[in-house]
Formats: sequence, structure tokens, C-alpha cells
Amino acid sequence: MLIKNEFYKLKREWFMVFLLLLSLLPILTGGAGAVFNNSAKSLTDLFFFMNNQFSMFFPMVIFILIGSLFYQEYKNKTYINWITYDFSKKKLFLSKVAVSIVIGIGFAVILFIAFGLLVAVLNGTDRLIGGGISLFLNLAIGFGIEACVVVLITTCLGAIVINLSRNIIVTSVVGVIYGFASCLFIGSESGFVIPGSFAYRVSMFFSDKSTYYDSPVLATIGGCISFVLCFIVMFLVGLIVFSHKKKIEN
Amino acid sequence: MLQIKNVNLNIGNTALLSNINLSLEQGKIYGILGPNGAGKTTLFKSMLGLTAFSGEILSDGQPVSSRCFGSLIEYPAFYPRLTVEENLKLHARYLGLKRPNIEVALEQVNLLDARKKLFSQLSLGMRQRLGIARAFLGDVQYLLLDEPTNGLDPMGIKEIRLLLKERLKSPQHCILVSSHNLTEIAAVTDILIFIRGGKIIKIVKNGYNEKELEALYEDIMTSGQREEA
Repeated sequence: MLIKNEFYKLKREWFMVFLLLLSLLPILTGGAGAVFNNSAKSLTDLFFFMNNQFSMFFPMVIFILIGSLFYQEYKNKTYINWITYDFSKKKLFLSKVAVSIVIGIGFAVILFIAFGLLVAVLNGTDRLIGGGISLFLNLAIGFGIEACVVVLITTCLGAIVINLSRNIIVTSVVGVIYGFASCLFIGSESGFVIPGSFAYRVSMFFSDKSTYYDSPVLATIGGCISFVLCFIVMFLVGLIVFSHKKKIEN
Repeated sequence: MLQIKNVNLNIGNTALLSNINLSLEQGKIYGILGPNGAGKTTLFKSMLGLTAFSGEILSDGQPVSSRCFGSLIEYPAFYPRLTVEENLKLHARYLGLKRPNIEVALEQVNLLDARKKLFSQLSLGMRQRLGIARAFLGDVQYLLLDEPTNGLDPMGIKEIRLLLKERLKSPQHCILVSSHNLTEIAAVTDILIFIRGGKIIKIVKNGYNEKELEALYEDIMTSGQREEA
């Protein structure tokens, strides 16, 4: 019920459309380049371009999304109402995080569908080299894993920032910094400890196996452990920050 | 009956509420009077469970649940992109009301015709009335109205006065109104509670007109200041 109510609150909120367009930026720019440039491109190159932009911009989208879910309540002071409804703060926090995760994954799915449409258009006009259904499905699996990691981690981190700052500008700026920072570690062999960087390399593995880490077993185990730990820690920190606002709500 | 027993709230070395004891009955309208910073809003917030106070707040002898309260604190907080009706529906869903009588609630505050309007399109007076409609939705026993006439023009103030006195006062409800507007308090309340520096300093039955109340208020507030001096 709480999750349903969170969706209900988003009715007519234009920032959702803005965030969807922001999510589609990798396709809009990549698509425009591919359509207006006469040279043919390979499917892996196209995915590489789209995925690079995705890993940089999508954390910002998620930061703004989760930030806005909390911020709209702080801004119009409706948070005072839902505190008085007698629901536990844990449930209220969980409902907002869940909604952000669902919408974030939804945006990623729409982005990949748009990518599929672009591939179909380029394929239909003979401007796509190589590739095929099996490669496309591989890319979908890799992208799906990356999107899930990015959405889960950045949602929890964004929830911490917005509840500490109660400021959407600060949250958006931290989102931009986080997006760039996690990209800095993509090339590093020990970068698997950063979930966003690890997710990118996993995603690219499904496109080109040679791009994965030199020590694949260590990186995979280390990356998975790091992701799970980061998620649990950030979720709990977010919950504590959200719950510890009870002194006087004004 | 709502009983407030030994309620205290301290932030650092500052006492926001000191030893508050009150017994409030259904069927009556209580007016809470005091200068800015006296603790009126803090007392309301404490009743709603929004502060870390010490002491007890009981409803008919049992610890009170915030669901017993309908409230309009400081500002009618709603979702600006939802309509009047949608905002009340959302509130009803949070309260778990199966068949909320939203139309009746809106009719009671003269907002039925505006039910399809977005909250952001409403005037301040309409927003206050919507806040009151929401506060009364469901099975509330106690209604807390913090400065309900704040920022309203004379007609808006009159509407709220009539609403409280003629439509909303009932044997099932205990209504608490805080205001700086002595005319309003004199016109609508049954009991007057004076508060200053987080302490209840006097409780009297309201039989005053505006001028008498003004004199009483001045006397009570300045006598406290004289004692402190």
C-alpha cells in the first residue's frame, strides 16, 4: 500500500519526464551520431558508446530521482503528515527506496529498448556491421546486471545524501561527482571494489571478453562481495539517517 | 478525554515545554493563547509524536495514537500536483479508510466545486479549508488547528470561524485551536489556555468578548514578565 501511495504522489510530476529524457541521453546522442554519420558501425562499438555515457550519467539520474522522492515531501512539508500516520519509519523509507529502484530499472529497460530500436534502424539501413541476436541478448544480460548494480547502489547513496542535506541541488551535484568518480576506477585492475566500476566491466565482458580484469576470479568474487557489502551498509546508513530526525520536526 | 501528564521537552539547556498537565474533553473547543515561541506549536507537535518529549499523553486512559488526531499544523501541507480530491484520497489511503466520505468532507468546507482543481491552484483560504477537511477525515477524536486563520483575509477568517462553530463542533470531537487572533479565539472557543515560556500559566472558561480578552491576555502575559523581572 505504501509503495502504491508513493507512485500515486508522482502523478503529473514533470520531473519524471525530465529524468526519463536524461536517461535516454546516451541513445539520443549516440543515435544522432549514428544516423547522421554515413559510416557503418559495429554493434559492440555502438554498445560501448552507449554504455560509457550510461555509466557516467545514470547515477546522476538515480540521485535526482531518489532525491526528488524525499525532497518533494521536505519542500511541501508533507513529511509531517506521513510521520503522523503511525507507519514505522523503516517502512516509509523502504517504500521510497523500492519505488526509486523500480523506476530506475524501468528507465534502464526503456533505454535498452531504445537501443534495440536504434540497432534495428541501423540494421535495416545496412549501417550496422556484424552482430546478431545472440550478441544482442548477451549485451542485454550484461547491461541488465550493470543497471541493477548501479540502481541499487546509487539509490541507497542518494537516499543518504538527500536525508542529510535535505537539498536537491546538493544531491544532484553529489550524483554528478559520483558518476564521474566511479568512471575513474573503470580502467583500474583493483577498481572492482567500486560497484559502479565493477558493474561496467561486467557489462563490457558480455560484449568483449578481453576487456575483463586480468585476474577474473579474484575480481568477480571481490566485486560481488564489495557490491553486497556496499549495498547493505549504505542501505542501513540511509535508514539510520532517515530515522534519526525525531528530535523536533520543524 | 485527552490527558497530558507531566510533559516536558528540552533541547540542550532550553526547556521548550515544562511540566504540561491538561485534561481536554470532547465536545469542547479549546483556545491556546500565547506569544511567539511560547510553545503552542511544540505542544501540538508533541501530541502528534513529532518530538522526543518525556511524560504521558493518554486518550481515555490509553497511550494516544497519532491516528486519534486530525491536524493542521502551521501550513496546510499537500501535494501541489494532485487535485483536491486526490489529496484527500491519498490521506484516506494512508489512514486505511475503506470508504472515505470525501464528498461530504469537501462539502462541509465548501470545496466540493473545487474538487478537480490542483492544490497549487487554490487560494490560501481554500488551502486552509482543505487542511481542515483532511484533519476531520476518518475517525479522529482530537483536532489540532495551529493558527488556522494565519494569512487569511477577513472573509476567509469569518469562513473558518463559522466552519468551526457551526459545522465541526460536535460531542465526538475535541478541538484545540491556537491563534494570535484574540477576536477569533474569543468567538469560537469554550476554554482558554494561556501558555508562555513552555508553561501553562492559566486555564479559564471563555465568557469574554474581544476587549475583555485583550485586557486579560495583556494582564496575564505582563504579570508573568513582572514576576520574572
